[in-house]
Amino acid sequence: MMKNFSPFQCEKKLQIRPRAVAVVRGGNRVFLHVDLDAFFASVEQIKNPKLKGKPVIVGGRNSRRGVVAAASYEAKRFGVETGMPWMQAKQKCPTAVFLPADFDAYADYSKKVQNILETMTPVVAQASIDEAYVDLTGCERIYGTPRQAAEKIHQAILNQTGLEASIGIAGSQSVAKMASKLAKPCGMMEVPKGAEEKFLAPMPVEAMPGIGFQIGERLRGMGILTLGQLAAIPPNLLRASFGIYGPFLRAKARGEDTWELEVTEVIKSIGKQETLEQDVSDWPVIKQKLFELIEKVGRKLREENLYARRVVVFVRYADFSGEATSKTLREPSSFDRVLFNHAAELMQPLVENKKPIRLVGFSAQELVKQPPQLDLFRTPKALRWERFYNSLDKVRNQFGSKTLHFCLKLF
Amino acid sequence: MEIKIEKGVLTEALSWVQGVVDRKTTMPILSNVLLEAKGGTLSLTATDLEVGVVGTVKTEVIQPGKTTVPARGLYEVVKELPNQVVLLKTQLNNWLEIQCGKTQIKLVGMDAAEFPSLPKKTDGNSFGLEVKTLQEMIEKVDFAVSTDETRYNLNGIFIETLSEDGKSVLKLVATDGHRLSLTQRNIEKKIPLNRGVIFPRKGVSELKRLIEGKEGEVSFWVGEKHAVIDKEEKMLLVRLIDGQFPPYTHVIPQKPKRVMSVPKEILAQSLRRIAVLTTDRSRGVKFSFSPGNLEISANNPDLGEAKEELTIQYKGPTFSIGFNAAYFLEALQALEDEQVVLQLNDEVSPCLIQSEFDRGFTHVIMPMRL
Repeated sequence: MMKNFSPFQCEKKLQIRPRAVAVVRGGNRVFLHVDLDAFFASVEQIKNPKLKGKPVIVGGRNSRRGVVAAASYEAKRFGVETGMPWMQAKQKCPTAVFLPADFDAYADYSKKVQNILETMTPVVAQASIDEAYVDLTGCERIYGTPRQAAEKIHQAILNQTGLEASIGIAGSQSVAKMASKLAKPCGMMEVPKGAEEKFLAPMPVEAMPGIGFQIGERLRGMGILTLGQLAAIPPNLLRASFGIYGPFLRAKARGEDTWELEVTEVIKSIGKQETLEQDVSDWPVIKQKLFELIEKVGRKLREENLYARRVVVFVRYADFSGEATSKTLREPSSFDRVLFNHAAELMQPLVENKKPIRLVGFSAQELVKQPPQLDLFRTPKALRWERFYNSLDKVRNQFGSKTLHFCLKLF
Repeated sequence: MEIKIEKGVLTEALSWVQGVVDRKTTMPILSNVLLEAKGGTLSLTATDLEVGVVGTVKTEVIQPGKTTVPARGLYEVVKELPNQVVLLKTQLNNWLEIQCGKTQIKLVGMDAAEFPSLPKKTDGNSFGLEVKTLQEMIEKVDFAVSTDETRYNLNGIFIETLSEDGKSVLKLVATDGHRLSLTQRNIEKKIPLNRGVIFPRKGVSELKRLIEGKEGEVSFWVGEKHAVIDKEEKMLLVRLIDGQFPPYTHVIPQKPKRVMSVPKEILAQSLRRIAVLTTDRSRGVKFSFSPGNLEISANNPDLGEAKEELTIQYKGPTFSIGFNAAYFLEALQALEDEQVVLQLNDEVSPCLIQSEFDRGFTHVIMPMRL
């Protein structure tokens, strides 16, 4: 749900194949949608147990001019909502504890939850930083009923991270997602086989994930307001109005659309940008920030086993004008140090003797997979570095991303 | 220009020179062959600017001169002519008239002045090499030459000589960054080559064509940027690769810890079978060594899996390592030995293969990640 706050801007090509409806009807599929409750605020409460039970509001990276990124349920009771401007939240809930976002911590916790899900079930697809789909099809012998499985997962997440999750259980991903939303906070909702249409019927069409504002408008124009109405429309009429998307809409409204969670993703670039606390024109400060961004991008690259052939740096100045430069590397790399040396060389002229800077960004592009064949002339130095970064990532995955840092001054 | 020449002689000369003509050249003149008649000989020249070949044949020159015509066109035409004397005669508009018996053909030509001039032998070193030795040596390394255009300094065979008490050691090395093949021979005569040169891939294949089925010596001239090779009436000019060959001696492992001896033919047969089950992209097979035993296995998610056990001579610890099957098979093919001795360290270090039969042969293969 908080997709906009995902710490990475990964440009991905998602190839989701809707399963043929006939197959789904015959198949006994079971999906869970696991959604972490008030995720950012909950992490803050775990980091600082004194905040437990208190209204907590987390801002964006730059809290003085940002909006509410997440609010604990205690704060939500006062009417604070995600996306609300900071000042308005303050008026609604003056007693709340206001905190700047700590995305490193959120990413670490997200990873922990992901690991729990992956150790318990075979097919997991993380949808955003705080939600994931789990394909439970065929796991009955291990976990019993889907509800029992969901309870075990819920308990495991709570015990190992302290986070609470809401879980939707259904025969398709979209219905599971809608169920988890209704189950919040800290609940569980199962939409049993055959009950999907009844469950969906009263809901407005836009409550269905995948039906956005535009399709919603067109449906409303046709007098279709609820999913129940949509499900009753003859298939040929939908096809005439929406083309190939018609049968897909119908399947959605009937709770029959599923897609394989093993989506093939082609990551085209991995980037990260950050608005600074205040406008800066000081090169050492920008350099430091750039390195922080690159450390995160590098870790993600190595996690995906990708190497960047091209590095791009960009800045936005205080007057909102921007500039970007890039270069192609002779040898693709995923090493922080290498990426940084190239990026710093590109960034310095954008900073020195120029206007103050508001935002810095870095993007790794033209990503290539690491070839399994080792190279005679790259060893053993490159192999040593590879081992070094592997260990670095291992430590950070286990103990958090703040445990080990490069000393930038040594570069 | 006007000459009379036997059809068979002309066909043979043309088949030799037209081989270097690049089909996809952007310069039209490079698809042409330069014909030059003077003093009782006809010389035919073709080049793609990297490699040039010149063939000289005896002929009856009625009127000396020169012209250029499409090499492939001329070859195809002459090949099909009756076995008689052929009359070649240039016309004013650079066309070439071909007369043979009752056949008359005219080919569109271009001015000979436009044909690029080939490098001349100036400062350089000359030496001769035994054809048989050279052939054998090339065959042991040329399969390892890189075809990756981005690694241009590996796109050829590195040739160097070392001097040892009046004698010379000739070394040929080729690598594509994944494996390296080296062969060296003692040469009775001194070879005055004062630096190593990289002989490009295309030059190597033309050289092989030049000395194929020949005997005796072939003479080399190596200059700053070019090399010229003469054998009888044929001459090959090669532009050397202007780059630094990597410090290859550093990557040859010194006395690896784990040594095993495997029957070569059995290993090759097994590899060929198992390689069917590798994926097209990686060609990776897994070698699992344990005392006295080698298990070779591969799997391909789309096709299936395979494994095979071989009895070998090995006493060290149990370990696994991945290799590109094709690299291994090519290395085995270059080896005359009945038993192949593999020398290894760990799963990320190269495998060293040396020959008992040919002491000058060294092959190194880098493993793959499993």
